[in-house]
Amino acid sequence: MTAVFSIPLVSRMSTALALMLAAAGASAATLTVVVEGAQGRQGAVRAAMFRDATGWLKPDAAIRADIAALDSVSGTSVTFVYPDLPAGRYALSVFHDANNDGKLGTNPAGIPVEPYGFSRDARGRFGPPAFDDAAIDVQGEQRVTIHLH
Amino acid sequence: MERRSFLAALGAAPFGLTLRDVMAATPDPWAAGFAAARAQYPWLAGYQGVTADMPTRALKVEGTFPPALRGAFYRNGPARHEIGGVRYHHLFDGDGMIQRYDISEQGVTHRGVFVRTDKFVADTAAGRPLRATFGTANPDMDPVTSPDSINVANTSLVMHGDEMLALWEGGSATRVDPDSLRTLGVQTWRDDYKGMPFSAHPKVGPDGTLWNFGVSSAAGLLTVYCVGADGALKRVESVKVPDVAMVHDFAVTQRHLVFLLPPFVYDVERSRAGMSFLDSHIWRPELGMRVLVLDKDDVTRMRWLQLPAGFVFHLGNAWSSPDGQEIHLDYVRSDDATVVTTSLRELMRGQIRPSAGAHLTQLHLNLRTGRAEQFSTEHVAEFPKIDTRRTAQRHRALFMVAHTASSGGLQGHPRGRPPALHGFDTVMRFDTDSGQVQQYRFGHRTLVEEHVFVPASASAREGEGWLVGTVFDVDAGSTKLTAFDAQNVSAGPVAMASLNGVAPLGLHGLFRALKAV
Repeated sequence: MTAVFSIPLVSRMSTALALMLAAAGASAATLTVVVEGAQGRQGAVRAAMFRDATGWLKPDAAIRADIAALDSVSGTSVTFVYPDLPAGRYALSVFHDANNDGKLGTNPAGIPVEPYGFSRDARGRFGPPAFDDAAIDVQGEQRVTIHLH
Repeated sequence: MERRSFLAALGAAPFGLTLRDVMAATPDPWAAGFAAARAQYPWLAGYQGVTADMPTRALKVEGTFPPALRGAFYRNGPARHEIGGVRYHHLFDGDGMIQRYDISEQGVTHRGVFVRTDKFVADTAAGRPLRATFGTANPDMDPVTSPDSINVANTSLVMHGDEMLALWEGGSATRVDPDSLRTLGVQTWRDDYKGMPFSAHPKVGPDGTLWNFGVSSAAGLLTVYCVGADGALKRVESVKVPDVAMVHDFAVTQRHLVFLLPPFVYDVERSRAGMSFLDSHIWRPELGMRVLVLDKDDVTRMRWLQLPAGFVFHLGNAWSSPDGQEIHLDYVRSDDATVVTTSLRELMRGQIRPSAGAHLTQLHLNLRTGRAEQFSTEHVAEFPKIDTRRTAQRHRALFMVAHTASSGGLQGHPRGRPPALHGFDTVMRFDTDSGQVQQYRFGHRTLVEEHVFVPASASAREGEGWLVGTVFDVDAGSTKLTAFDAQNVSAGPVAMASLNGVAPLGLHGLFRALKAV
């Protein structure tokens, strides 16, 4: 019984941030994403943010690609803050890069072997969820939680 | 019916009940169908299932269990068929329970413990089947995220390198403590193979090396594992197989691994559309039954041979000529997949739809000529077992359960009348050279489960020893552990131990001798 996943790997290195303070203006929104369920303190949690279905899960189309080293945070969750976002729809994919190789590890059948998750805790059927299932309508100050599994 | 009128029709709307409340109060048609049929057919008690672990109980012993059988007989099988009133749609769906019969001078006891898979834990916490199964994909169930998310560890057991593994066809092996039956966790053979299937019929050769395989249907992969006698992985490799099929078992020779691929082929689009794993398979008889032979030293060296279309769950043993080029093996063949698509599905809602029996079939493969020839015996049988000291070597003794009653069973019942029983009534020993048979048939209202061979001693000849297994005596309402003299099967059991009640009918078992002290 097998599902094939081909969740594109977000390997693009970018500005590392674990916590940033919001400085939202009137026309901008702030999204705070709490990621729960990392297993152990090894490696990092990586998060990629997408704007539309066309670019969904395509590494080059990610408008943000962030990394939070687990040894730099305390507690059981990791928080990413995205200030100054134009209000609108966003979806995120996150995973626990336990071996720190920059990509979501999969077994030969394409099933992730590192914990992963999507905004709205969306789950796909025999693959990743659709952008629409993971998309959040971001307005003003917003806080969401993603559970890795 | 629209939701509003649906609710109104049930009189629920005035009380402000949600649709889920109403659904919960509506009897599940599969559970209701089964309950109604069970009143009519007492043998269905074996498929009722249980919802909790079964505490240790003493059995009533008749006869004497021989000293070689001091130890434990284990059987794995689907045992929780309903959660929160929702009944699964296939016999193979239920959560695996390991039943253990301890045989000692003091007597025989039985207990049963569910394997605590992720799915078992999640469904139990929810009080309903949250996740889909092999044969059930209700619209309100979560999408299948990985094979292990629906792994029920319900098919078989193996002891290897002092570890007990509960096995399932489509996912990881689950480590279990053979003494306490406590679940220890998922077995990962290598980090990059985490979650890959390790199916239910590994073969252990005379040198203690274990071979197994797994099919990743959506990826079209066949994975081969070679594990040393110490339990450490020696090799694992995956090969791409076109039109990958449902493959439950395989055989090994000194040089080769042999797979029979029935034309029951996986279509990932059906899974994406929300169909169950079973219903994602299509019967494509034009493919025939393909025989795939892999070289143990290099599994990418694939040989294909061809047989007429047919369906198979279980193989017996394989052996080859000294040069490895001629392979003999036994398997249990049916003309089509009706047993899995219909009989074992409909059973779960109390619909008795027997399929034509599967016949013990002897197969001869010639790798030089590419010819595959088979001879079908008259024996309607299943669960072929050998003296496992002969694995991959020439064997003569094949032990099976069979259906031999002339009527009232799988076949031959008067048209329009359901059969009295659905299953096997006989323990059989078959001589693969001469075709001679020894058999013992239980009373006609007894369901016979797999019996495994236990050698009389380490130096005993092939087939000199005991058969141990279980039966469900329907009239007595009792599950019984039975032991036969494997050389005198026709004489009937030499010892029996009766449970005061019914244990869930299971699938495959193993015997573990008491460690010498």
